[in-house]
Amino acid sequence: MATENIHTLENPIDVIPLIHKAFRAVSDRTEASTFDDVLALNEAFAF
Amino acid sequence: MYHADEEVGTEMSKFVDESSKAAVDCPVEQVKWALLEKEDSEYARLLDGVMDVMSVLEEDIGATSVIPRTKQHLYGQVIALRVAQEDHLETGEAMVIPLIRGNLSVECQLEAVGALLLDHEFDDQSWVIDWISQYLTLKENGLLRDLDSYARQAQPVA
Repeated sequence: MATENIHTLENPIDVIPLIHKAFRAVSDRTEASTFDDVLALNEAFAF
Repeated sequence: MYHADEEVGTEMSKFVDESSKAAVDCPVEQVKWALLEKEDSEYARLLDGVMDVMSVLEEDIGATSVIPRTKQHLYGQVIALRVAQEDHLETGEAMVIPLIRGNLSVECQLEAVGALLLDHEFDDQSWVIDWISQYLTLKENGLLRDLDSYARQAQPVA
């Protein structure tokens, strides 16, 4: 998974991996949850 | 968490010139375009996964506790969704971004990226950037803010 830190944006489109990094962080958190709290899961998927 | 991703699908494609796609003779380039089309099906699979999870969540809204069977069901769906998301993001990073980098001018890229990062339908137009920034390093946030200011300059005046 490409979650390494990014040091330069040579082209504007290179911002996309930064957006992906945020998606992956939310996914990590969701995957690690205990699935006990439906409201928390709803919050994760509401975006 | 899929707002921006959905935007990528809609906003980026309108900048891709169909004629340049049709003019591709090189077999390597043809494979790239074929993979891009495959990405559409990955994206559809991703949306299906989101709908599956949302269906379970809607059924359990208001429940004070989630029964173990529902938890297992949710977990399986979230893992499947994670795999679908990873396929989609990796295809984007490996195939779509290089293609856009090679085919769109910096100005076009700025316009497309601006459409992703700036939400003109909200008073707080920077909410997407603020949401992303909480997951980035200080250095990455600096890059994002620099790009944001360039993108704002490139946006057509409303």
